[in-house]
Amino acid sequence: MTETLLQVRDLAVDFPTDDGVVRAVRGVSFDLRRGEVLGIVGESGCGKSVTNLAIMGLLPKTAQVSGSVRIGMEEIVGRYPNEMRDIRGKRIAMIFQDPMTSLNPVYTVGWQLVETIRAHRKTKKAEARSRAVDLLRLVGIPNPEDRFDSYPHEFSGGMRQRVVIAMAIANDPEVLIADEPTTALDVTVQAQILDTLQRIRRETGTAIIFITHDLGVLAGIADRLLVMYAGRVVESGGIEEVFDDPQMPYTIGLLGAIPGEDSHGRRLNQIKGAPPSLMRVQDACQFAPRCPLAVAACTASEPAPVAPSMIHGVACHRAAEIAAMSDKRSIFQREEVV
Amino acid sequence: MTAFIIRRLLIAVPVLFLASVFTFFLVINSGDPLENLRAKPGISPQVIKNEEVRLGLDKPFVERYTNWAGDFVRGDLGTDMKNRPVWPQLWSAIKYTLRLVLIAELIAISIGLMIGIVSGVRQYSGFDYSTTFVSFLFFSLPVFWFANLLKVFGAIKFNDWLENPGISLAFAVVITAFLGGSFYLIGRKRERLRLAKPGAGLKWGGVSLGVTALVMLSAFFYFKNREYGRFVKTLGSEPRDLSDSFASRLWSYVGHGVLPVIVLFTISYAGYSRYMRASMLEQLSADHVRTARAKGLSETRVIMRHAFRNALIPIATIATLSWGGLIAGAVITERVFAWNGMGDFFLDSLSNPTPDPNRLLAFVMITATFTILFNIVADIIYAVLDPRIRLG
Ligand SMILES: Nc1ncnc2c1ncn2[C@@H]1O[C@H](COP(=O)(O)OP(=O)(O)O)[C@@H](O)[C@H]1O
Ligand SMILES: [Mg+2]
Repeated sequence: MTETLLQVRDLAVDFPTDDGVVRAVRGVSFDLRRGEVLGIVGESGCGKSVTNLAIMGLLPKTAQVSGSVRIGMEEIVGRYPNEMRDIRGKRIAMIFQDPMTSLNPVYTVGWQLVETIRAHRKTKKAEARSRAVDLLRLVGIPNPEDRFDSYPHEFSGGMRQRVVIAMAIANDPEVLIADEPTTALDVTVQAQILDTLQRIRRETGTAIIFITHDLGVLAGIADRLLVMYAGRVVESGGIEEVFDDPQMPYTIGLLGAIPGEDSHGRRLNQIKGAPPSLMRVQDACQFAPRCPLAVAACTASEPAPVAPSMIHGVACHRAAEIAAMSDKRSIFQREEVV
Repeated sequence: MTAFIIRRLLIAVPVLFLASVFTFFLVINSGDPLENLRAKPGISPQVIKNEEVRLGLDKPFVERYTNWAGDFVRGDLGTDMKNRPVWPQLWSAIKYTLRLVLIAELIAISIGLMIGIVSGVRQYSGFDYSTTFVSFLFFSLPVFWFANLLKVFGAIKFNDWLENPGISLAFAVVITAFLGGSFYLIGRKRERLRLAKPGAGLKWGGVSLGVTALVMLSAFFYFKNREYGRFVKTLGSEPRDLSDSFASRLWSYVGHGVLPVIVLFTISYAGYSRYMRASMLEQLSADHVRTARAKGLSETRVIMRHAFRNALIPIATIATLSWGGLIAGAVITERVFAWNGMGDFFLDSLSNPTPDPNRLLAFVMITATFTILFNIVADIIYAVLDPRIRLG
């Protein structure tokens, strides 16, 4: 088995607010191995960003983080902010959702790239500049020499996201976290950005955590999958296992929402209802209120969290029964379009 | 850029024209400049007639205006009621006002911005709450009352102390204990918030206790058997005896300036620190600042090169625009401390004893010109600070 780069164990994040404690992440555990692409999927608000901001040590000061995050031998949880500097941007880098706002508007993209390079390595200005131009070329920016001195507002959204990617990979990080990097972009541009990320992975061997709320995006790029619901991992496994043999009703619902060949002429089946409040978390399966298969046991206790050692793990009281079902997708009703 | 400046200057012409017509109309109708003369017993009608001709009171509005405007365009601001040329008086007032206001504003901006940055970065900390309190206090101080209070405590009482200076041991002990204790508590707090290494409370408390004790002890011995003059002045703007040595004249300038500068500082400081704090808060929660942190930059660099640099954009505009109005002088402060600046010039022109048309017009034109110029400067600074803005 390949070496584990990033090890997350029982990660929990609480936000005390005036109305009560928001329990954004509750006991998330997973491993990321060298060179692998791990997809994290789940509805908006399920804790994907908070989990990854915790890994970066970028949560607001109000956040209460517990559990363990290790990069190599180094523990991240509980570090002083100034001790995160040699990890951030160097060992773990992050790409954010909105390319329109994630660059500083007052500096040229070249300046921002050079700054990133020189933050971690003593490099001469000219050397950093040529490295920056190489990076711009690597992420697919045409005429990188000329574009070096352009300001972010002179780029389109897709091009800006490429610049952000260039900044993220500037110091050859072991782990690249992409938090919904294509959500804010047009579909065609989305595909180009995905291509770029794929290429970077091939050329640099960086392990990638790819966060999305859209399972369809992951199909072509992820090796393994982590499905999150209400601050927990509810299913994890190799992408093929999870796609072919989903065992948590929530995953089945998500998969049903992807348009496929057999969905022609039918309405996509969808999960009804909304995710629960993270303010008052009950000891029950959080998905039970929306689950067509829920039984008494589901509201009596919360299933044990998915262990990271499992090849295909599920947090569901009825996982065994579901595994044996033949037409899983039928558990969510499908309406014929008349 | 040049085209922009030329166009803006051209737009300024009709603005100044309208301002002058409006002011001229108001001034002309604000009372009879010869009221006092006419009321004097034994003044011959011929004298009054001569004065009317000299001041142009016998002519219709349009003719009087065009006469004034013709002189103005040629750079002649005319003479006042007492037949003295206006420009030298105005120029002297401008110099006094600028000296006062420039110094006060520069101090207010530097301190205001620094405090604003820190209270933005440490939002809801003890520091933030106390500076917010001080800002609102300064903001709501009645200037007249505060200026007079300063005269009593900042000048008269302080000068009394300077004549026989000395600090008591009790005072030294209290100050030392207070500073040492505060820094100990601050250090402990930062330890708890994990902003400082364990032991910071004791270290900081101990160091500040030691330093203050040393300073207090040396002050105790230093002030023994010394005497200084009455340094802080409450009236006037400069030394009376210009034959003194350079150093003593310089000190005299400082002694005259210190109180009015403090008053003007308190007025401006509050605004700058509050604006800066708000602007910093906005930037600190901006996405690009998160990106900067994610890149692994040092916190200082994140705050100064990213958050502060961007937070400066709105502040520069606000500051420049308010500087345009500063030339109009600080009426109350100049009155209380008897500085012959622009505020004083304006009040004098309004009723000395009757409105003085040429002086008032000169005042309005110079302040309007400054305001317009600083508006242009504000736009230029804005474009320089923000590459997204194109002048055009
Ligand atoms: N600073 C914060 N204070 C309080 N609640 C927060 C904060 N940041 C995130 N949350 C909450 O944590 C939950 C998870 O958010 P997030 O991880 O951003 O979701 P997503 O999966 O869409 O990325 C949400 O319910 C959100 O409201
Ligand atoms: Mg998110």
